[in-house]
Amino acid sequence: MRLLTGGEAETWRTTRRLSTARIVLNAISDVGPLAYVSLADVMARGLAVQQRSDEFTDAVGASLEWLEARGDVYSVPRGRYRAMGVHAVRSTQRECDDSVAWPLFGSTSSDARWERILSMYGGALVETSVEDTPGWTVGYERVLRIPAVSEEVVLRDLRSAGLTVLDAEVFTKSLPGIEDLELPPVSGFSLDHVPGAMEAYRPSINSPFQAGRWGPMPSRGTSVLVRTSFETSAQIERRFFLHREGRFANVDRDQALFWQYRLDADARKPLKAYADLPSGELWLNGPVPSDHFRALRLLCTAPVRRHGYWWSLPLGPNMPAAREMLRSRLGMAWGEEPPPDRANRT
Amino acid sequence: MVTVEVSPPMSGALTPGDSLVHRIYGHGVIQCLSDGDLPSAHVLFDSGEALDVRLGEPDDLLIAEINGSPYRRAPSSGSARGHASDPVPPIVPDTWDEWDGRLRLLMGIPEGADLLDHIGRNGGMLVPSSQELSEVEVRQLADVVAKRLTKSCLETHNCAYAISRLKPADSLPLLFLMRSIAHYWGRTGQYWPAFTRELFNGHVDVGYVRTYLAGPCRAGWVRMYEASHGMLFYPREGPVNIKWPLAHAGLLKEDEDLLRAYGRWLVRSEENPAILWGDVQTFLQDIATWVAGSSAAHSTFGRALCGADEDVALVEAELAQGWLRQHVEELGRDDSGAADDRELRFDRLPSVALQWDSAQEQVGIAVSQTRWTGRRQIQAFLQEARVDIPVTYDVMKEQSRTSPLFIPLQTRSWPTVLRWVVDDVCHDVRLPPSPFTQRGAVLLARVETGRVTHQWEVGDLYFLLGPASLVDSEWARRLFEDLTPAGSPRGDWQGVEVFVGRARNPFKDIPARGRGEDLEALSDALEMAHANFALPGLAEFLRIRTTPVGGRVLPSQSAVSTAYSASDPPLLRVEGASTGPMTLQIDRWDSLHRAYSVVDADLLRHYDEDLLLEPTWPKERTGLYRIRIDGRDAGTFQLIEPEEQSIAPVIVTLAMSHPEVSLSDALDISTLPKDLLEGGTVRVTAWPESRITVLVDTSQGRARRTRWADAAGILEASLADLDVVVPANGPVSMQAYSGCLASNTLTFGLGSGINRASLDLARANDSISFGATTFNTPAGLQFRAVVVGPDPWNGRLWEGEGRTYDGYLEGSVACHATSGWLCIQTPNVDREKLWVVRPFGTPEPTLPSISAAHSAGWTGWALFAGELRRSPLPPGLARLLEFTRSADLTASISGPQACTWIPALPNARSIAAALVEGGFTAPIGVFLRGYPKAGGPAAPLSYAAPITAEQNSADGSWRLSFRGRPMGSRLNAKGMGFVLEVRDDLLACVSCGFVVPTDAWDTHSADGYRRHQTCDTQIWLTPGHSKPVALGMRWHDGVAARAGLEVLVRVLRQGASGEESVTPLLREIGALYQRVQPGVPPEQWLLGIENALRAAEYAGDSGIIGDSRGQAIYVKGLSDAFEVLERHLSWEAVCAC
Repeated sequence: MRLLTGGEAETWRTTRRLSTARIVLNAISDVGPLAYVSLADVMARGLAVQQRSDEFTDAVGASLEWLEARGDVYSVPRGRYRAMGVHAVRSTQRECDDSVAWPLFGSTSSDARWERILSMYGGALVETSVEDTPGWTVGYERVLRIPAVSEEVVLRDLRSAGLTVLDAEVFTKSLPGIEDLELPPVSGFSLDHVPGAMEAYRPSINSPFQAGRWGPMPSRGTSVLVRTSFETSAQIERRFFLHREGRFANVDRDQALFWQYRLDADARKPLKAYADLPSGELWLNGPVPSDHFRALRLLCTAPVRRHGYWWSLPLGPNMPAAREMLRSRLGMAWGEEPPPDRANRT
Repeated sequence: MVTVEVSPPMSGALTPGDSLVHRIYGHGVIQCLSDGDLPSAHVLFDSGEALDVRLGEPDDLLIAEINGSPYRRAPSSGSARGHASDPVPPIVPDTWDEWDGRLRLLMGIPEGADLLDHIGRNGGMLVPSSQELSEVEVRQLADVVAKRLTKSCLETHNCAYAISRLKPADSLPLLFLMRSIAHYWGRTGQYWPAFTRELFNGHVDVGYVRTYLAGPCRAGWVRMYEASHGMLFYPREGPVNIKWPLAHAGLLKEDEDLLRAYGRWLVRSEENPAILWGDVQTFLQDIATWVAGSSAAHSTFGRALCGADEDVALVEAELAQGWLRQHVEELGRDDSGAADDRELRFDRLPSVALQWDSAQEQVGIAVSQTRWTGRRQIQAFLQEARVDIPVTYDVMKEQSRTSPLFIPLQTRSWPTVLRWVVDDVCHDVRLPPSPFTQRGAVLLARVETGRVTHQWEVGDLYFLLGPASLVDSEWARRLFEDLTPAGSPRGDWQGVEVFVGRARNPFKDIPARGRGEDLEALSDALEMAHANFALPGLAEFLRIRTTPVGGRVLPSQSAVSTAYSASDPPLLRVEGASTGPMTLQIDRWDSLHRAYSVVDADLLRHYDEDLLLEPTWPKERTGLYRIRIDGRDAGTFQLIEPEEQSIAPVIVTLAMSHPEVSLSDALDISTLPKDLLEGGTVRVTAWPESRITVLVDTSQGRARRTRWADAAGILEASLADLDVVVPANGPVSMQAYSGCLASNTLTFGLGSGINRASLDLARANDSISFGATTFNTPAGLQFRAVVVGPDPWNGRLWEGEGRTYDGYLEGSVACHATSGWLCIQTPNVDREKLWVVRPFGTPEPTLPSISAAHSAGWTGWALFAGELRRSPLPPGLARLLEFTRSADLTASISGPQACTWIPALPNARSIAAALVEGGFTAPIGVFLRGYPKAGGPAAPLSYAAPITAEQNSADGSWRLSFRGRPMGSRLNAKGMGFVLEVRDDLLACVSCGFVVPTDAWDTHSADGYRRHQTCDTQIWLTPGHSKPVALGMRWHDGVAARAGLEVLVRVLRQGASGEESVTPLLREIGALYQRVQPGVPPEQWLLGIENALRAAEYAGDSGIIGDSRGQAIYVKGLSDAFEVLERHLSWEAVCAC
């Protein structure tokens, strides 16, 4: 039995911290649907931290946000997260070493199975952690790297072993647009008994990012999208509602985000996406709905990075396709320039 | 050796073997006598002490009894010993100090040794080293204690003060008396009445004792615990005041015998003994269930464990658990009573535990699985409500098994027992009582498992179920942090809320200075919480803790220990104050030798901070581990290999069902009659709890509805549920989305037809007339109506006609049918389609014989059946068509039901069977081989030459050829026959010819099927038009047969669950099997067949035989399955071509 020195113990904890997103995804994949508090517990136990630390609970929250945006997990009622069924997306992009890279999504429970198959053909399952604030990671990417010459036979074997392999087109073909959003019938409920402070989404505030467009509910407000914030000692819990004629209907966070783009477009205050053409990077000042984010990241040539609230998507030659998607589906404005002063919000 | 003396001299009256009772040393037997100045006897006392007793010294008063007669001090007159007839009381210790000395000797404490040191070295129990005091002696001790506490009179109000003044080292008589009262009378759950009776002879009210003396007595135990530096055993379970004496009452020899029997069973059973390190509550349920089913149920200990007094049971269970932990290895080596194992291991009632299911937001009873010898009918009832219990019968082991259950509790009070009925014999399984009968009660449950617990670890998350006000309570504030609401239980649980919070270290807030007062307050708060809510006490925070940290946590099959991946094991963290070096040891349970073996150990020196240690793991890592500190158990965990989980495809599908119409997947459902929308159900399959959007396009525009799938990933809703109004005109199309993935599209036909609900039939002796209202249907059209009898090929197919009018239709069919189906076809001369079908007279479809396919009426029926094939049909008629298709297929290839491909394996014994109708082809050429079977119409033909499949490059159709001649007449890409139409994704193995569902592929090529390990070339068969699929099996070396039969069972199980396409085969095998085991549902005997298959071996021409472990393996079900197959197929040997 080896006693870890103080330095070794710290290194071990650092390594665990750097694997936050992977640990979170593994836990959801292995154990089943888990609530945020349970995931925070997994991390606390894994780090041998006795007391709650805002630092790591925030990191768990950020990792969940990342994994949900990527399509690895999805939120379900009662504040829990489930792992998406494992699937790969077939990409036609060639890498320089004449291999193809198919991003892998969802449950990690069968990763060993894919690794075994890939190793037979000289391929590999490549994992990448994506850093955010120093000392923590929020992102976790998995890619199946397959020698181009073996692509078809690997595809056949992976499918034989139960892996769903989808073509990238399926994610864009059916991608909903803001015009598809419909208000629910007037059969919702009143918000009299919902706790927490109420805010409305008001594009008229004209903040360059959507988080800044939430403001107090106008006294005679006809705001379509409202939210309540309820602060617990662990986190701020938010619930989103669509408002119509004094009645309210629940929407989940992702759907609310979609509505934000719709309301921005209706008010002619669309957010701007910044295309830094020399670097081939697209900068988004906040999240986009998960379906759209997935479609965008399938156009990326390298892992997506997050810098505070900013998302950096290395799109390279696929910038026009991204522009079309953001414009037609989310009504976003487009600027071919580096993002303004993003560091202020990191 | 101690010498005691007695007077007057009396050696002449005694002989070796005589007994005496010594006032301090208790009962003894004289070993030998010796003469000297004074005669003396060498006495062996029951306590183990051997003493020389001098007989003759005049002033001693030490002997109480000799050979049953009182012996007293000689009177000054010098008379001899008293006689039994003398009214002389026995001489016993009659002072506090004398009893103190006597009890020390009884506990084996050497003269001059420190009581508290001795406790630490002897397991921390306040028990005698050998024999207990007799009941008479306990009463004598009680007299002395009572005198001391009441100062010779019953000034009971002084008692509490007197008790509180006792110093730990001076309190032995009181504490020993308390545990002795518990030993003899306390297990009945009536501790304080017994205490009052023995101590105060009934002169004091028991309520007074409970109120005023119980607390000081408990404090006396706690003082002793603290003075012993925590070495006195601290019972963690049970009511706060009586758990001490109950726990220290110890175990009787017969108790240990009972535990030995249970322990032997535990370590020999398939499970590992992790339960010994788990929650006492869980352990109690397990041992109580075991005891209830054993002959020990009526013993004192058994009654205590199984009795209604949960508090007493918990104390005893904790004691038993500790004893078993100490003796687990010894029990593992103990082979005695092995013959009883079978009796012990089976026919046990389930163990039960309270559980909070956070996903379903329900409190419930978790019921363990059970095993019963033989085939049993098992039911359970909670009060009057029947609980569904899945029971499976394992043919190989001849045992019935029930699966683990979760029974939701709808209210905060629930019955005290679960009634478990086995073959009409009722058993009561005691349920954990509801704490919510008392105000302010709380349940504590682990977040990991949801199991209610009485123990905790600082830093872990727990659910608390209790009143909303608990967040404001002092104890909750001290014991939890981040206590946040987490919903409320479903059902009638008014006043009970769920919170989740992290157990915190209550010492965290206490400054180093002034710690004493705070500790006192903290202790009170914890004790209150402990007493009122059965939460952990202060002692939980005073021990050194060792926990696994890091690693990859996996779902554990055991409720008592956390499981980690063997490839990513945890480190060990040691926390808590250490006063000196300590030994940390990790042991692994060796299930073969039924004992723990040391994996790693180390000596840790004094430390101030928490430590992290990396154990050296053994080569074979998986197993149960325990952690020990200085030889004491400090935790347990498991290393396991992650289970290969079944992988669900990421796909969205949309289907429609209707209660009156069978919308088979095989149906061409690109267009459907629109009236199916009325009363029909949309079924979307995606992934669990996913958000599903259903798009409905009509002539009036698009409706988009978002709903959530259930936990199985299924959304079922009618259009009314979806708030969609279907317009009268125009087609309706539907599609579903989840995320970006879209389903198939369903389109419902143009707006004309019959109002299905309005169809009215009138039967006469020789005709059936009918009428119905129509919509959007012109008047004056003629249409055909057909009545199909249950066996239409026997001339029971009648045709008639009808006519449409303005808004309605009428028609009739001349027939003699008493039951059948009326089929009305659309009035379209060019392409008739089925308009509507209405069964009448409860028709039962008839299974056609093979010869029926060659009868005169077959052609007409087959022609009409072909017209029906792509229409939605009632289930009965759909089944008749399946039968027909099967027979037609058989007829078309002039052979048994069908064949699948067979490889050319040299000298292999090969049989092929398509187990369901439909056959298959594949996008490659295949061989089908067989040989004619000798005689018998049941298997008229098979094939001696290869059958080949060839694709016509012009139209893409497939053709099967036999000896160069084409087979059948409709073997094209869209017709029937060997056309590939699959419902599920399938894999076809090019090497061996297996066609299996994708999730069965691993079985097919798993270890053990050596011949198939090279099956690395597969064909992926994706769903086409979702036809029932032909699943192949073959028989050549037993290995493949086994894999094939697994597929067979899987298919048959679909039949058992309502899949009609395999009904004929299922029915036939079932009919044979029922002769052996009548009344057994197919789900059970199918499992039996499956299990038999796994253990069976193939022995050449002898067929399937059992393995060497038992003859019962050659089971009826398996041979029945083969018998049916044999009749349908050819089982002759196949030579390689």
